[in-house]
Parts: sequence; structure tokens; C-alpha cells
Amino acid sequence: MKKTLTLITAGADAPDPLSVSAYESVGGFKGLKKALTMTPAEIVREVLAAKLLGRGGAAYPAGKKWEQLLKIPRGPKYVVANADEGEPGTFKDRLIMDKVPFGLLEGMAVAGHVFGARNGYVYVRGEYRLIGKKLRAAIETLKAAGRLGENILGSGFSFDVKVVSGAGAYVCGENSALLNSTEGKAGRPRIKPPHLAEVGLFLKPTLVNNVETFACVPSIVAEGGERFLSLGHPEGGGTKLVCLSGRVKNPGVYEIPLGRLTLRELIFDPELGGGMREGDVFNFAHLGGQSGPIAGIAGLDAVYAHSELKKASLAVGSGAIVVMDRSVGILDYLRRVSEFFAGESCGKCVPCREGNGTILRYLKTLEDGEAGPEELRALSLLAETMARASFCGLGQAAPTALESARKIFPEEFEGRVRRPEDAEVREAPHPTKFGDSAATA
Amino acid sequence: MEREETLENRGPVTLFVDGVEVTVPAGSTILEAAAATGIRVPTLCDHPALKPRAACRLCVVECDGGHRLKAACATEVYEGARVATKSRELLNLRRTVLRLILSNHPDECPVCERNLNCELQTLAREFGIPRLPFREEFPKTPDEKDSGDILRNPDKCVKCGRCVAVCREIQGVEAAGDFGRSRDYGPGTPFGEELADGPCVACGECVLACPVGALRERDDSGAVLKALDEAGKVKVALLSPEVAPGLEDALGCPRGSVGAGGTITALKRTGFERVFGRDAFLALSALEEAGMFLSSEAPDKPFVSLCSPRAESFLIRGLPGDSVIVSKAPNPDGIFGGIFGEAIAASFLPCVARKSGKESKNPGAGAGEVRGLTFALNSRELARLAKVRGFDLAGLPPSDFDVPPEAARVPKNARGIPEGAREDFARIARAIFALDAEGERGRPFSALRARNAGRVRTLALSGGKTADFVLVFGTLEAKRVLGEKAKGVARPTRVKVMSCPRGCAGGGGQVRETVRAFPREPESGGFAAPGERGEPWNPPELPGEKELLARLFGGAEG
Repeated sequence: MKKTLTLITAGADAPDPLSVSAYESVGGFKGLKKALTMTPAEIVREVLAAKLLGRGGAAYPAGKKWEQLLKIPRGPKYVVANADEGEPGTFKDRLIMDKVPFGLLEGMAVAGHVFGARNGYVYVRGEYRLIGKKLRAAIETLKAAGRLGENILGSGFSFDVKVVSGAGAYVCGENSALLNSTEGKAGRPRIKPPHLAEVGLFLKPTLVNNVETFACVPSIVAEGGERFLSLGHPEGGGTKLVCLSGRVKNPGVYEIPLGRLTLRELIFDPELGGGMREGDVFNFAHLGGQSGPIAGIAGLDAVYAHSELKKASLAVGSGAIVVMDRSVGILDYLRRVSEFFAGESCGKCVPCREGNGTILRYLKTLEDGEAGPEELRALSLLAETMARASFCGLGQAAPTALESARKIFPEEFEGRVRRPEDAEVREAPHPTKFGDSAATA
Repeated sequence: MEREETLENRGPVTLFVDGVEVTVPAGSTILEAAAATGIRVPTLCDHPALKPRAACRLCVVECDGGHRLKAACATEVYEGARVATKSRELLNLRRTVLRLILSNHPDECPVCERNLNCELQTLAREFGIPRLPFREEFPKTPDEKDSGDILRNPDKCVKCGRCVAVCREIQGVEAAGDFGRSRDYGPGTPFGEELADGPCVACGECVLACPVGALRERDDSGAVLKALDEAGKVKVALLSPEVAPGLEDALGCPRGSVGAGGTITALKRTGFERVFGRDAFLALSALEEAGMFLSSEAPDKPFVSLCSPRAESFLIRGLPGDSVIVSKAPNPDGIFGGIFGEAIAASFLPCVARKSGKESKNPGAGAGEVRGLTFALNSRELARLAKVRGFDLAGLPPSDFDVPPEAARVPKNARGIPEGAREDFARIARAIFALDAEGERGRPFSALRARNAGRVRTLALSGGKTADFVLVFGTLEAKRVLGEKAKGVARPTRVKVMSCPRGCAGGGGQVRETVRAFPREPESGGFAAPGERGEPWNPPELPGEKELLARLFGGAEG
């Protein structure tokens, strides 16, 4: 049995991604054509039935998001594709935009039809300059072919798409920061509520979905939500693009059905990751991007689907699977993750701005064998505070890898702690919990 | 959507805060609902006049048992919400957040200007933080970032964003913005320029808004003490009564216990030989301006009077060329400085912008320029002077203002008044005096939010003619009003701009406690300004008016 499917990536191997006829030869625009004969409510019903979970990382049900926006009577509405693919180890939106840009644009056009939107935006990460160029060419091609722009396919529906870019900031992948950046403001997240469905781009009701989410829409409309659901897991339908990287033999993007394969198969199956590279021994895998959890050997038997991974305290996230071998120490790895967040925090809220830097500092201390039990407790405290009190998803998710790694590799942490007999007399950095300080206050 | 519903029917909302049922108006925040049940949730970045920023995360609360916490300052109440504000877990999280803020804050409290008057210090004390946590060495910025009137110390900044927000939302100046990211995030100016090189009007609202010692004015109190020791020079002071409540608050005296009388005594004992009241100089300034207004050659253009040169460059630069006439009449400080140019002349007003007015690089620019003044001190600096001198203010016997010298009673520039226009001249001078005095007294804090000040008062003049008088508070409103008036006015119109949203009494140089005590609700009659258009407006006579008119016109007329 073939392990991969080509639902989203149909046509990805065509020599010319900008050939409308090639795209149509693999079923392209069937979804849009059908959508133009359907009512918005009917289309939203299909997306709901598909149980399409958002592909950007948060896995919010796309159908629910569409349903909420559809209920809002005000207009104009905007359709925005989040193409700020900033999660390290994630390069699947890039594949879509590079090889099947029409898939994204078709999905957006369907959404445009559903919400009566006249304009759509693709926010391409600043580093994807060539991709942005390609997308612009794809838009022009479709406009010339009557599949975008004025009076699409003679239906009277008009929908235009613009490509915008920031200067390159991880936080702009957060939807509200992305909209701020699109508006020309600094890419910092907004206070929610109001949700973006109510007050989004230019303060108008807005749909923001990930590139891959939009790319799923044409087949959901063309083949029906039920069929999409049946391809995947009963609690989250369809296929998922996974990005294998690190010490595997066959790194790359694979479109796999959700709920059919274990992590082990993904990494070790010859048709997929192909196992570890010559001489390497699996140590851990980082799932879903830098903000995702770490999977150890024990996690490998988890089935790759949102709800199944959740049971194993893991997550699909963006679809990244970064595989590390024994030559990579977990503390070294976590420090690099921490460096990433300490650099990418927007700085607006205290837990994220100060927390990431402090975690980084303590991880370095731990690596150097200079940390005591107090530092270890501080790491837990900081992780919990950031996860619960940060302003946006960046700060909330930043300590995920650290927290999961501590459960998998407790000895790496405890073993590095300076034993009391080594310690010179030194001050504890702080008491840990409220109440403990009563004696010292 | 839940929110849609609450927006549509703005009825009261009932919720539970720590199990206590409370009903508040729709649109209230959880912070306000908690306050209504007697629970104060700690805050740092929140400011009652500003939009919430939810950045400090000290006010996090739990809603309906959700794992992710909400910022009480930015979360609207909703029907049936179950809010927890005081669980041990929450207290721990808030403590960690506060420790993170403290982790790289300088430990220089005893030598900080805001010692014992600092919101961060207060929080640390309330939370019982036993020692400075998560401590690390961090590079110190050698000195304050500005050499102008407002000094910044980025080390002390807690990045609450209030200064940037007040400059944008309240004043509409946008001299500062949020720059950088991660630990480099913080308030700044474009391209790192000095504040004074940007559009900053030096109103000092940011200094008032800063919860810690990151922003302060350049302190001239030490220089004053030094100058007072100089032999051979006359030392005179011009005192605005608005500094008295500030002095009382700063020194912990009951309101009204010191008053202007005690302040005069304090200034005299500090070394000022003569202390004059502001009103006489204000009256003279009004007369000077009345003459110019009456003889304006372009009555179709608004005649604009501004309180500082920086406000002038900010407000007038944005208008079409020559669309307004900017008053060149000297303000009270300017008159005072002009008369006492040879002396050590210090003016006391709750104002920061006057400092730069004193040192205008653009002499002759007009508005608010105060040449000749040696020192322009604000209420906070006066309080420092009093503290350094160790005055027991409440015990000081009151003194009276000195009688202003002859020169302070005759307008120099009130020439060109047409024959027979004496009555109009007097009425206009009265109107100007009344408006300026009102501006210096300030107005309710709520006016700042309501943005419905700037009402027009119409004065009846001879021959059935009228003139309009407008008093505008704050530069944001001034921008709007001037933009409108610059299109042309149907009758002679004088627009007086007070750069500070609460007028001089609540100005950027006022003592913080005094500003905080400003009433938030409209005072009775606060908005019912006398003489709405249609009603004739009869401002009270200005001090010494009869005598002045007699001098100008030679004896009583009619």
C-alpha cells in the first residue's frame, strides 16, 4: 500500500506549476466551479463535515471559523492566507506555493465566494521573496484565464488576491500580528477579543487560514466533506503535509493521511523518512515546530493524528518533524530553541519578553553544570507562567519543548544539577512559591 | 457571537468575581467589575485614560476555570462569567511576572527620583518580594538619553507602553513609538533621535504617565538654589496658585493647609525678595493680546494663542500656510521675564514646556516664548526645593503677593486700537483673561476623555458685531479644532490652546498625586460653559482693568 496521497499535492510534479491546463488535468478548479453553484451555507457545511483542522499549528476547526465569520452580517469581509511559514523545520506551505500555487488561490477564491469577499491577501514571510514573486505570477495567470479577478468563470463573482510581505518576524505568523503587519504596522499581536472574525484586517470581519488549510478546500468542495473526512482520522479529516528533516535519510515534504501512520513509520518507513542516516541512532524528534513538543523513543508509537498525538502529550502543530540523533544533546538543542524564542519574542508582554531570556540564561547555566535545584525549579515556574500568562500563542507555546523534554529526559536535567556538596555557599535565586517567602519577607 | 449580543443590548451584566455576584454596565472590564466588589487586581501597564494594552500581565485572572488566563484590564465582562482573581496559583503566577519585571530593573531605589512614589516599588512591597529575583548583570545605559527638558532612562523602563500611548491617544503627537523586539523592545523615537528633535511638544504627559523613574523632567531646583546665593542680583518669583495643591500633596500636607500664602512665605524664605501673583501678569498679557486681536488684518483667519513654542511648531506646521494668525502677544512669563531681565527671575507653574520656551532657539517666534526668564520651574521642582530646604509648610504663616511694579501694569503693545473701540477692547481683554485663567485652572478629567471641550463662546461687540472665543485643551483636540478653523472663520475668532489636557492645574509639571486626584466625573456645570453661542457672554472684569484703561485712553470714557 502506498503510504502517501496526493490530495493537496496533486500536480506538484508538473513541469510548469503555472500551467492552468496542467492544473485542471489533475482536477483543478473542480472545487471552485462547484462552489459557485452552491450557497455559502452549503459550502460551510461541507467544511464542517470534513473536520478540517487548521493546518497552521493551532488546529482550530476551520469549519467552525468559517461558520462564525458567515454569521457576522457586516462587511466588507477579507480573506487572508497566513503564509508566514516561520516555524523552523516547516517548509510545506512553501511547497504548495512553489509547486501548486493554484491550489491555494482556488481555496481562497472559494472562501471569497462564501463570505462575499472582494479581496484576499496572502501574507508571505519576508524570507520567501522568490515564492512571493511566483505567487504574483500565478495570480496574474489566473486573472488572465478568468479564474480570478473580475467575473470569475462567468459567474459574476469577482475576487482579487494581493501578495504582501513583512520584513521577516516569527511573531507575524500569529494571525493578529500578521494583520497588523499587513496593514503596515509593527507586527505585534492584538488584544482578543474582539476576534478577527469580527474585527480583522482594516478592522473588518476577516478570515485568516493557513496556506495548507486553504489548499484542502478545493477537494473538500469537489469531493464532499465526508470523503475528505474518510481519508483521515475520524476526529480530524484529510491528509497532512509533514516536513521531515534532521538526521533522516529522506528529508522532505510528504502528504500523508491523518490517523493511518505512526511516528515510527513516518520516520523509519523506506517510502517516507527512510530511517536514520548511516551510523546515527534516534534520540528524539521535535514535532510541529519550535513551539511544539519533543517526542522520545516512547512517543514513536503514537499515531500521527491530532487527537492521537494529544493523548501522548504530543502535537501535529505545523507538521514539522525534526529528527535528532544521539550526537545532539537535549540541553544543547533546547538552548537553541530558547535562543530562537528569545530573539523572536515581540517584547510586548512581560512573561514572553523576560521569560524567554531568563530561561535561556538558566539553560546555559545548566549546560555549564552551574545550576542548582533552585534553577531547575525556576525553569518550571517560568515555563508555567509563560504558558498561562503570556499575551499570545508565541509566549504560551515557547516553553512547550522544554516542558516535554524534562519529562522524557529527566536525568539530563537532574544529572546536570550541581550537587550541594560541590556548591559553595551561594544565594538561592529566589523562593519558588507564594507562602514559602513568608518566612523571609 | 456572544460579543455581538453584548454590543447590541448594552444592559447591565451580572457576573461572579471570586464567588461574589456583581452587576456592572456592559462594556466594563473585569478589572472594573472586580473593583466594584472591593477587589483590587494589581496592574502596572493599565491607565484609566488609555486603551488597555494587556502587556504587563499582572492583572491576569481565571475565567470560567480556563487554563489560559485573561488580562482583567482588557477583558470585557460577559453574562454569568465566573472570574477568579485570588487563587494561590494566580498569586504565584503574578509573583513570577512581577519578579521578571524586577529581574533587570536597577536597584537604585534610594537615589531614584520616584523613591516612595513608584508603582513598581509599591507592587514589590505589596507582593512581599523578599529579594531581587532572576537577577542578572545587564549593560547599563550610561546616562539619560536626552539633553532636552524630558529625560529618559531606558534602564528603569518597565515597557508598560503608557508614555507612547498617552502621546498618541491623548495628545495625538506621536513623538514616541514602540521599537525593537524581545528584550530590545521599548519606547523610543524614530531613528533614536532626541525627543526635542521630533514633534514632542514637551507637555510632560508622558512623565506623568510613567509608573517608574524612566521619564522625568530636567531638574532645575538645584540650579535655582545656587543662583539664589549669587550676590548683587535681585531675586524675584512669579507664582501660579496652581502649584500650591501640588506642594501640599508632595509634602503630605492636607489640601488647603498651605495655599498660595504659605507658598509665598516658603519662596521668600528660600531667598526670593519679591513674589508676584500670576493674575496681574495674565491681565497684562490679555490686554496686549486684545489689542492685537482687535487690529488683526485678517479677521477671516483664526487668531491662535498657544502656550509654548513647541506646541506652535507642532500644531501650526501641519496647517496650510498662512491659514491662521499666531498671536505674538507675550504670555505672563514673557512679560515677567521682560521686566525682570536683569534679575534672577523664576516662574513657578505646573508646566514642563515652559522650560523650552525659556530657551527658544527661534527668538521672535512668538507663542509662549519667555525670554528673560532665568528659571521655569514646575510643581515637582518646587516641592523638591521645599524638601531640600526642610520647610514645615503647614506651619508657615501666609504672606501676600507683592504688588507688581509699575511696568507690569501697562501694556506695551496694545497700540493700534481704533478710536472709539475702548469698550470692545476692554471686553475682548476680559474674554481673553477669563479664558486663559480658566485654562490655567484646568477642567475635569472626564473632559479629557469626552473630547467635547472646545466650545465656542460668543462675545457681543459694538455695532452688532460679535467675536468667537474658543478654549481648547490638549494637542489632539487642538489639532482637530485648528484644522477646522483654518478653513476660515465667519467672524473674528480667537482660539486659545492649552497644550495639557487638564489645563495648567493638571499640567505635565504638576505633582503626580495632585493630577491623580483630579475629578474624573464632570463637575456640576463643568460643561455648561456660560455663553454658548447665542447667549451673550459677559466675562468678569479683569484685575485693575479700570486703571489700565484709564492709562491707555486717558481718563474715563463715556
